[in-house]
Amino acid sequence: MPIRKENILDELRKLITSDEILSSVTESAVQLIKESDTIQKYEGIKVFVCNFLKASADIIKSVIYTDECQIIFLVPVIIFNEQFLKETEAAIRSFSLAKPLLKSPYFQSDANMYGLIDRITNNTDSYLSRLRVMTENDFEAEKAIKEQFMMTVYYFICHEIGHLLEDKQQGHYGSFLKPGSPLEENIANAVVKLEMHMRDLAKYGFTLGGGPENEKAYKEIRRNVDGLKNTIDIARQENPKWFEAEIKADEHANEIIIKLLQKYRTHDEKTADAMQYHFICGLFVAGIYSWFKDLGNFLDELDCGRTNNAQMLTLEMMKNREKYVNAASLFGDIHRFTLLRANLTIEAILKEQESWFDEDPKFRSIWYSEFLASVPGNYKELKKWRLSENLQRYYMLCILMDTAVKISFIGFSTGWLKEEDNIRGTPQLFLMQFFSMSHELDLLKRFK
Amino acid sequence: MDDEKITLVRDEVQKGMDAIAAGNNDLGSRHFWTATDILATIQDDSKKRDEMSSLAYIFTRYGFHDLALIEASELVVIDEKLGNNRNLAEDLLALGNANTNLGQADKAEENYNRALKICLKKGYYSNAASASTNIAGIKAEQNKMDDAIALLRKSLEFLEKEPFPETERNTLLTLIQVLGITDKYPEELIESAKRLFKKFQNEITPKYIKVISPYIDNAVKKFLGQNPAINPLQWKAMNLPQIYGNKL
Repeated sequence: MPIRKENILDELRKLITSDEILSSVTESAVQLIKESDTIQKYEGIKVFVCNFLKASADIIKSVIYTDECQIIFLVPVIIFNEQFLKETEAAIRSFSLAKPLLKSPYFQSDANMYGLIDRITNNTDSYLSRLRVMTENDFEAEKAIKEQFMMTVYYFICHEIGHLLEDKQQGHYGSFLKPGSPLEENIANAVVKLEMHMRDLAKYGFTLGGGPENEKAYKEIRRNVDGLKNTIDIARQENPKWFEAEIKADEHANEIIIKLLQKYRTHDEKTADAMQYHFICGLFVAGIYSWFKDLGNFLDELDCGRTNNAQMLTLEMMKNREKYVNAASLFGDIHRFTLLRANLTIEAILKEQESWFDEDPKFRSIWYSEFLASVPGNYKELKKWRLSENLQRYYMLCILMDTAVKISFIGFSTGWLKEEDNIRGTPQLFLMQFFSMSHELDLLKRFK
Repeated sequence: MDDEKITLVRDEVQKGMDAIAAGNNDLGSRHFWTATDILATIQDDSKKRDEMSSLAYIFTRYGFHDLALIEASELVVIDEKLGNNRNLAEDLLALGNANTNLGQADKAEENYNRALKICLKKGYYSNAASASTNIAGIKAEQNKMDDAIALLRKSLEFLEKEPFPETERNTLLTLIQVLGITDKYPEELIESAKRLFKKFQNEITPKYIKVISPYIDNAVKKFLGQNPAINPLQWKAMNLPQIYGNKL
């Protein structure tokens, strides 16, 4: 039975989460709407955290259901899936176990990262409850975690309100590859989607680089892609428009957060700094978790296991062109690439709030002594250390973009590569090296 | 019921270690997590505690420092409940090590200090030495060298009362480095080096020698400079052949 507008709120009330932490954190995020001049008019907007395990089959099939979060314009109402928030919270709590980013166990090896993803997705409640107990008696640590989580939830809310500001019919924040979902097999769909992402990544400097000989190849690839665009179904041809809508929603969210921080800075700099630091830490984790969850699901679908993922991924992707078609499933039909979203938001905030990017590169650094920052009352040192930690997160995201850049660029070229194979009469072996987690961390350590 | 669960836990741990030995670290970590999940359901705290202690050690050994932290934190809570001071002291040390591995220097110091207090009160001197040496390491990282030296000297005093070779070796290695950085006590540095090589020659690998030999050499130069009557070659060959060789 279709859900009617007048029943939506009633149905949502039946699904409200009983988790007190999720409720209180979401409520705190909603309270921030009042403080934002840009979106104050939406302070009455309803936000629900729903336990869809209690939902009927009709609800699951209805417009109410979301895997992550969404806005329904009819009411309007923002809906979070409880499971999505629990996973986000578990990820934030896990990353908070280490203090400086370099000590995070999840960047030391692929096994640590995928082990974390596994624990969170397959044992959410038991793992989360054990993490929560750890900071039960540590007021400062628990406060910091809740601040990170709250600011992340606030960002998701701002993204959804961003859709309202653009007056679009519906929108949601989400990741893409669910366990057991079939991988993309249609080359035209894959190539067209990956071209959209490749151009988006390239716009911000995330490319494979290249010289004049590549321009000739690029023209040939473009010709191939333009030809394939005509073969995809009409609905998909609308995707670039929705993609732009998602980008606009992100941009609205960024602006809302920046203005909120600026407002706090005028009367309470310490709180503004703490909010900024915690927001970037939280968003970083949300982006990383989302990407590696999708990548892990992809590796499972390829049946190549997650251990030594970089090596296995390199070998699997080399086997045949279709792997790059399958890899298109890692990217959204209408959503910008996950890590890029987090990266651009962090960059927008840091460039707006800090002068670091304007400083002479010879004299600036992303590293700062943690010991000085840990001395009580030493606020100036703490501020510098927090900035250094945020910059490390920003550049780590830049480095981690590597896998997606390679997949999108090669994937977008797949149609043309197959044409060339046909002309040649034999497929050409093509090897693209993917990097392990520890290698990515080593790259970060080389930064000044 | 608890005994059956313990068997399951041990099976999972073995599977985890086998997976890692076969190069499948991801699968290994999943088995380890399953083990700790089963452990959490065991009713008997003292049985649970013993298995958790092994698991915390295994997590640390295989580099799963986040899991080691979770396990050690829960261990400390159980130890406090059971009122076993020796276990509590040891598990506070394990917790401090997990904090250190995750960069939580302030929490590490707090836990090591808690362990030290219990150990001194109860006369667990080898564990006191371990705590003291670990705190010294933190102080050295903070460039508080005098504090570090004082703590390391204390560690050696504790070890006189209750020897523990591994702690003594680690303490001497740390002391040599800290004395070398401060460059204040060359004779003490030399004596520490001689003691280290006398007792632990077979355990001091080339990797360690590479780290400590510049400090030793510097201290030896100072000492010989202050004692010109001593034949340097003879002295070096007799006192520190591990660094200088024993050819006269």
